Amino acid sequence: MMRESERNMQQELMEIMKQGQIGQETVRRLAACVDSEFKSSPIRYFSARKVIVVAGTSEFLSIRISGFGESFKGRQLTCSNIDNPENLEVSMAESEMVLQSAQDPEVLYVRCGETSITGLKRSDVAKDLDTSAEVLKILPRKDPDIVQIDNKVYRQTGTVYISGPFYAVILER
Amino acid sequence: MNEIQEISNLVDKEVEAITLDATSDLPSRKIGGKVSARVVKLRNPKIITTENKIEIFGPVFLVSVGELKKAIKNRYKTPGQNIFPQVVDDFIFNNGKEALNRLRTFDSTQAASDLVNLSRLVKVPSDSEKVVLVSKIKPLELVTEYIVDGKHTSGTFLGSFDLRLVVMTDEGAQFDFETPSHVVGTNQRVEESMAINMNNIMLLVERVDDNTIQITGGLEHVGWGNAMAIVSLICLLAGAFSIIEKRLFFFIVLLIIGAALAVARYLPTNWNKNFFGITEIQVVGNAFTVFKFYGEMA
Repeated sequence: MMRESERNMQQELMEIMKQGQIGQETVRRLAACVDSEFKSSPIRYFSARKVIVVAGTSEFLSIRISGFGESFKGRQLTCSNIDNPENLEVSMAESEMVLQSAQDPEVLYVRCGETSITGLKRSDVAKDLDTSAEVLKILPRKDPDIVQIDNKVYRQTGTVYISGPFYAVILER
Repeated sequence: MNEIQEISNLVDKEVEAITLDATSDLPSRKIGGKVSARVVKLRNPKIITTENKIEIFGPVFLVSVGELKKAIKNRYKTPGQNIFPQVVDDFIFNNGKEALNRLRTFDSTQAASDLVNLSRLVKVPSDSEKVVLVSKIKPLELVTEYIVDGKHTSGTFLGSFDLRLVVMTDEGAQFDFETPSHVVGTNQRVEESMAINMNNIMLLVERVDDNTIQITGGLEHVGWGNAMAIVSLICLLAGAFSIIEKRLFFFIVLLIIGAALAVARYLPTNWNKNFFGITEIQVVGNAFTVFKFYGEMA
């Protein structure tokens, strides 16, 4: 059963490559892995700078773009991020089957369902609100360990400040 | 009718016009609606409050006090058990000097500067529902040069604002809006949440939706910890019951087990820290500034 489905898939990929409406680079990528094995992918979320989606032979891609009232039809769809430093997020969670090429793991065969390609929806305006916490450094201990004032002894005190009209300071080194 | 109400009506009319025009084929960059945003960056804005008209030069950030307080609380942490978020509250609402004393063993120069500036903007917990305009968020820098009712002011910081207030500029604004928001545009791509870059904007800040909470996280083996606490409590209760029933042996055994479990769970020993981890206090959630606006996208 699996063999037959694999053969159908390979046949489908061959047919796609023969179509004139897709780019040469896409044809080259598909050709490189058409004879290789495709395995079911447990991962349904991917991240990429550029995503190319090519329709199968029987139907055009049906494309919706958020914010546009009308839907679109097409043979090949390319989404890419050029200036935006963030990658595009590709989700195939709704798809019936996702197969991944053993030869080129970035070539996927998706059956039915919907694939969504989205990108970062935030600018860097709020970046300074979300900085990761900086660990405060511990100051070196320079304060005296023992302070004796007349008969009273204090340990591990803070810095000692002395003032007075006249006093002597004797240092022992 | 006061000026802010007049501007509110004007914004409503503009948004309604954009909504009606949304299907137009004519090229337009008009956009408007009601949004929840964490921060708005504005260049050379003019502000209208119920009392004053203020002009600021240069780029400033419009942000709620709640969001700013969250950012500062999460900006620094003390090694080991993080006491910084409590120090922030202590510094602002209680005795500032005593709060800073808790950081005396740390190099806290930058943190202290942020705390002092924050304390100038917020005095009581309910101030979290006000908004501020600041020159810089990290490090926190307040606006100290501005014009109030035509009079140039320098050296005195611009404090927080009660709502409602109007902010406008013809020299650029940027913000990211989040759900729930309702934005309409003429021939523009508009989603439930997205980044917006405006050429000009008029916005009316209506309220702050503060859903920030302080949580304690970073614990490991939480299940074991809870189980130890519960078993300890049961042993101590059963021990108390045994002494009532004059069963001294059971009382001693249960008391020892209960006390040992409680000590292992709650005494801050090295074993406890290694096994359960060190708690980390963090502020999560957002304090959105909710405003309605209209203007032209860049």
